[in-house]
Amino acid sequence: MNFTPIPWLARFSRLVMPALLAGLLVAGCASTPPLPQTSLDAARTAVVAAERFDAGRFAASELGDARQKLAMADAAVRDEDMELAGRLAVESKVGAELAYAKTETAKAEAINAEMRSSAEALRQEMQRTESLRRPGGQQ
Amino acid sequence: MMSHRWWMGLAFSSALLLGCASALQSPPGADSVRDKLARLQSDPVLSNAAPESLERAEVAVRLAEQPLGDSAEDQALGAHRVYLADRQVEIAMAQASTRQAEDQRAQFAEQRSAARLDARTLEANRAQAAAERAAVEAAELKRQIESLKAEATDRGLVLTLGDLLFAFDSAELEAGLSSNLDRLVTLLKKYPTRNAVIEGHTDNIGNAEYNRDLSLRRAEAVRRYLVGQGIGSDRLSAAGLGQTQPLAGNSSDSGRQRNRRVEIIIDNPAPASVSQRMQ
Repeated sequence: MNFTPIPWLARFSRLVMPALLAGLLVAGCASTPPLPQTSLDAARTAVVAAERFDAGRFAASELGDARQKLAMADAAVRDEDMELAGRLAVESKVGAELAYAKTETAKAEAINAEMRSSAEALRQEMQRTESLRRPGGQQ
Repeated sequence: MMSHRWWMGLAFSSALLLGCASALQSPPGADSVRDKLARLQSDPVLSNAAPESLERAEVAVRLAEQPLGDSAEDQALGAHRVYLADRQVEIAMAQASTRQAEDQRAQFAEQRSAARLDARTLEANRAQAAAERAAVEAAELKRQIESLKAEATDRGLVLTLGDLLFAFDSAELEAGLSSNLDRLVTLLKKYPTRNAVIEGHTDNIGNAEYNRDLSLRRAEAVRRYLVGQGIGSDRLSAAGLGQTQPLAGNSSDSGRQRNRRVEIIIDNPAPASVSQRMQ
């Protein structure tokens, strides 16, 4: 084993590297993630849209979830944890979109149920009049 | 000394690499989201209902499956991605269900309009049958009217019996009678829902009060006869109108003869009672 380290590299490591690391660390602190305004706005819009669509009636738990995430995102902004705020905002938005989608499903199914029952009523009404009119039926 | 440090470095690097390899894995929950998505994708109906949202869900699940380290930061990122993926899968499921419901709705609408069409056809057939029955009845009634030499008016069917039924100043029906009266009995028996008003009329010879009384007694005589023939008395009413409604001038014998008469008015049936009776 005849290994000899390069002298200038050893010196570089010892002196420059810590400075470089310190610089990076300072730079990292200075560039705190910015306020996730776009995500927060998008989440708020999505929650309001779901509320207006009556999601409170048809997908209450999903809407409540989205509202809670939005409130947590706002709290994270106050705590200056912008990364967490951004994630929570995105989660709130997708949650509100789910509330909206589930409300759409519930409304569509309610319309179908109504159509089914009115078709059934029509059918029964037809059968009833048929039996009334049939010879030998009620006079 | 130097070689020792070098070996240490190599060992440390290897350990680090190995450590990384073992720590990088899909975040917890990613596999169950994948399962949920796979169930949706394998559903023959739902998988085709909302392709765009299904694709978004697939992208989100793939991102959630990305291996991450076990640092707190990575775990938070993993949980975030898994949450988003789960919501996207749920959204895809909801949208697919909505599309399915809408597709079913088109079928319901078809079924309902088919049922409506059936109902209308049935109704039309019934109406046609009722119209045919009414036409048969009308033709029959026309024959009856013709045989009675009666007249169809707004008030109903008016049958005029001449004064030949009665002797002068008498309210007794003559024996023998008009065959018209027998035909009237037949008609009233055939159409039991029709009522008849019997009106007596006179010419203007004599006291008006007396004439009214005479006309009433003659109308009553016809009514008694009809009741005697089995027509319900509640279907028949009699009125004496005296000389108030002449058909012709009272200046001539022939005019006065036309005015001395008994009219029987058979009321028109209510439209609803036609079909009821014909059943």
